[in-house]
Amino acid sequence: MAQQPRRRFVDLHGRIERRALVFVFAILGVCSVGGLVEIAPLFAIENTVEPVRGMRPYTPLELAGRAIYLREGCYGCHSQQIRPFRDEVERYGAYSLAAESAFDHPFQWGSKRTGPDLARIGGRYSDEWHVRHLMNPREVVPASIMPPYAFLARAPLDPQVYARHVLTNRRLGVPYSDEQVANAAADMLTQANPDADGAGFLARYPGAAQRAFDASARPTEMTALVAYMQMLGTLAQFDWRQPDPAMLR
Amino acid sequence: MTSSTPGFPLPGPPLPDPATGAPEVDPNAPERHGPLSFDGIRELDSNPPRIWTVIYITTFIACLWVLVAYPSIPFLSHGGDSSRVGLLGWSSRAALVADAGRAAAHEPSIQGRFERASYTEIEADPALRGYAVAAATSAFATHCAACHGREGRGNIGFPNLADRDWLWGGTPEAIEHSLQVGIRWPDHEPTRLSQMPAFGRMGMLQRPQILDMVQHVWSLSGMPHDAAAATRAAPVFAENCTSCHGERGEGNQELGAPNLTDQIWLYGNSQQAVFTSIHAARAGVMPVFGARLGTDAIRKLVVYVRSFGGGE
Ligand code: HEC
Ligand code: HEC
Ligand code: HEC
Repeated sequence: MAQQPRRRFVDLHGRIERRALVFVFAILGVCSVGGLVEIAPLFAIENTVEPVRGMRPYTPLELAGRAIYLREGCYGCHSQQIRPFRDEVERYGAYSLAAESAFDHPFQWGSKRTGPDLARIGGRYSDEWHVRHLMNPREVVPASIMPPYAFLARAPLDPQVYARHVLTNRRLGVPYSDEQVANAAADMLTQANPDADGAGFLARYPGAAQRAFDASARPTEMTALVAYMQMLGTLAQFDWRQPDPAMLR
Repeated sequence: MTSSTPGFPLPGPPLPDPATGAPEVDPNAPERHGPLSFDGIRELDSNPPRIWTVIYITTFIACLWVLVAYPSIPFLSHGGDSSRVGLLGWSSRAALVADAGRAAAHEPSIQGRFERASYTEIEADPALRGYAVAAATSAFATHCAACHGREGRGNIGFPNLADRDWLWGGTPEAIEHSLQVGIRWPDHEPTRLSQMPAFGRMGMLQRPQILDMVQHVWSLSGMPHDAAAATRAAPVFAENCTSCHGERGEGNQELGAPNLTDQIWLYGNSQQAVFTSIHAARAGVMPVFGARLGTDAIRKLVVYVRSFGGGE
């Protein structure tokens, strides 16, 4: 065979394949592209998370409700992210901002909507409706396929246990102050008790709602979950029709 | 095939094909050596058809175009405003505002007429009324049906909007007001407010008195009742209840106090239900829709609610 072998791409590959060290570095090079695409945006987080008025860390009661939301796997059927499309904003309200998930560890965006999006469920229904719906969804929405969660109303909420979530979240980067951490258990009971003196609590969590949330005498897991639902999406103050220039940096 | 190892290029001259004795050569890669066949399957180093190469390179170029045309590099965006990042200046938020604007301008003439017309004019004009009802149908399903039911027929604690019994009033203005400010919405100053005292829980009436009162309440709407008990409770009713529910229990829309003489019950007419209504009192809560939906959507909902046939 006098024919001159052609240098082709495939041959190049064949040569790389036969040199182990070269092959290792080639693999590393290709994989790091994928890694870079995922990691690089984290370095631009200051740019992608726009500052918005009204955001505050969750109150201990809301945080407990969120822990119960995660434990029960509500995210399996409910997303918490409204996309900037007309059909979504007309149904659910203003699209979600990155800042609204800034205190979420982990975030609850999700992609599965067996039920509606819950990013702005707060204030859409009354506390009583939420309790009745969670006790037995079919009582208020006859065609619902959501499972009942009546046991939550019978499960007492242990403030000492859930207060530790505040500390955990601080370690994860949520800006809870020392005072907020120290008062977590007390704040949890105060928020669920309309007759308690809420001055200290409201100073720590401006604008938070202090009321009974459900009919139980002592806070239950139901109380915490309803408090969390009623807060969802109500913190950020902005109007998607007229994005406030002050909101944008 | 006996002597051959799997078709991988091996150093050395091409081995002969055991069947014919001729050395095996890959026409696309003559420099490959060694047996190319195994178990009757021949492995050649051919190029893929040209079309795949073309598609591969085209998608690559398209990706690069998307990368520079649309906002995709987070380091360049400014606090959520991505419009300055891509070459096209496109941003999903601006696109949404434009989309909403187009939708609002979809039927400018009839929308303009709707905005200027009074409720009386709207309800007299089938075109305007139909326009409002069509626009409000999905809004009702989204925002109201979970409580008031798909057809507005209500549920325990959530009033039927299709009947002629109104707590706060069934005129267009009254309905609009209920929607704008909500009912007993916590921490909201202008909301509709009124609170029946929890007569039992607060110790104003004793248990036997409340049981008598249940009979009296039943008597008001002509339900079967214990006449002696109802008569015993009559003075207590006159003293405690008429200020809100009226002399004969006919209700008061100023206070959202239900009419007790019709056979329409917000919380049910069983002994247990009426007992609880008096013992613990009720306080139905409806959210505020003013800021959430805006006046235009609310006016359409008012026309829609009245189209159930229960308006005043
Ligand atoms: C099996 C899937 C499923 C799970 C799990 C589930 N849901 Fe739902 N959810 C639904 C469906 C379907 C609906 C719509 C029908 C209805 O309103 O009941 C719904 C509706 C809702 C609504 C009313 C939303 C609206 O806009 O009307 C709320 C609030 C809600 N769910 C909360 C929860 C919470 C809290 C949990 C966890 C404790 C949960 N869901 C778990 C399926 C689910
Ligand atoms: C969270 C549940 C809930 C939702 C959602 C809700 N309502 Fe209501 N609505 C109520 C309750 C409860 C009352 C009665 C309050 C009371 O007891 O006085 C009421 C009362 C009303 C009334 C006054 C009825 C009367 O007899 O005077 C109107 C009108 C009304 N709702 C319309 C609407 C419309 C339209 C929507 C959707 C935009 C809506 N509601 C959404 C719970 C709800
Ligand atoms: C301060 C005003 C006020 C007084 C006084 C008052 N009520 Fe009421 N009552 C209301 C209001 C308002 C409601 C409706 C609550 C709601 O919509 O959630 C109501 C509801 C009721 C209901 C439930 C009606 C239904 O359709 O299910 C009954 C029964 C009732 N009242 C009986 C009484 C009796 C008996 C007394 C006197 C012992 C009394 N009320 C005194 C304001 C009052």
